[in-house]
Amino acid sequence: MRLYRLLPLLLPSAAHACTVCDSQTGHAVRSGIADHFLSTALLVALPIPLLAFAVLAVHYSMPDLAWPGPDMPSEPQPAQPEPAQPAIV
Amino acid sequence: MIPKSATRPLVTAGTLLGIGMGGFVDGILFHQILQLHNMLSNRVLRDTLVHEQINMFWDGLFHAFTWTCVALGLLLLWQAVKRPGAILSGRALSGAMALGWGLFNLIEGLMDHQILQLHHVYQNGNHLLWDLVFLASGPLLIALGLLLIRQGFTRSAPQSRSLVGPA
Repeated sequence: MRLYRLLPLLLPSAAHACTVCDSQTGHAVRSGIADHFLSTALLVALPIPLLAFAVLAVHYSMPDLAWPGPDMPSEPQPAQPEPAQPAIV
Repeated sequence: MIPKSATRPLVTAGTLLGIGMGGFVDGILFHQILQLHNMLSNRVLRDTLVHEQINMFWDGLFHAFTWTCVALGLLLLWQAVKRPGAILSGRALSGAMALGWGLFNLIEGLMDHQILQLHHVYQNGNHLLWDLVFLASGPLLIALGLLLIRQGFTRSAPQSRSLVGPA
């Protein structure tokens, strides 16, 4: 395959635009983003603290059901008798 | 007696995962595949390439947020399953994810669609019905999630042992 045929893909076109592109459309995109950036970012981010609060509410309001693990007895075990000490004669 | 197992970390991890993945459903399905709306499409109308790309930028920030939620959820899930005696109920985890998805739809639907009017679910037509359906899916998913969490942990509880809690 002749790779040079792909070269036009790397060249800027009339509609070449991205947030970091050095083109007329790229400049327009950047200025559109920069216009009222802080206020827009604040509006867009407003649901985030509410969602964080909801997660915390779920965490602390959810009953933490728990039960002993498999190696923990659920009922007290009867005390094992001490092994009898051999009498010293 | 010190309880060895707990259900709370799994629910929290699943809730965060649900928020993130619910956000991805919104972003991937509605923003990208169906292209019904974008993040700011009620304020920056999608009528030119520049406006489309401005919306795409804010969509990207939204996806960065949902990605962060999934990453945090995975981290918490990893910590939850490593706990000694962790109760690994797939049903409860699915329920927690549904809970998170419902919270996302409810809060995002209320804030972005109704209060701030950043965008509507279906930007080009009568948006009220679409917005209300989206909003109603929130409480439904929350109720489904709570039900699944309860079922999951009830079924996972050892029959011979009584539950200890709430903490």
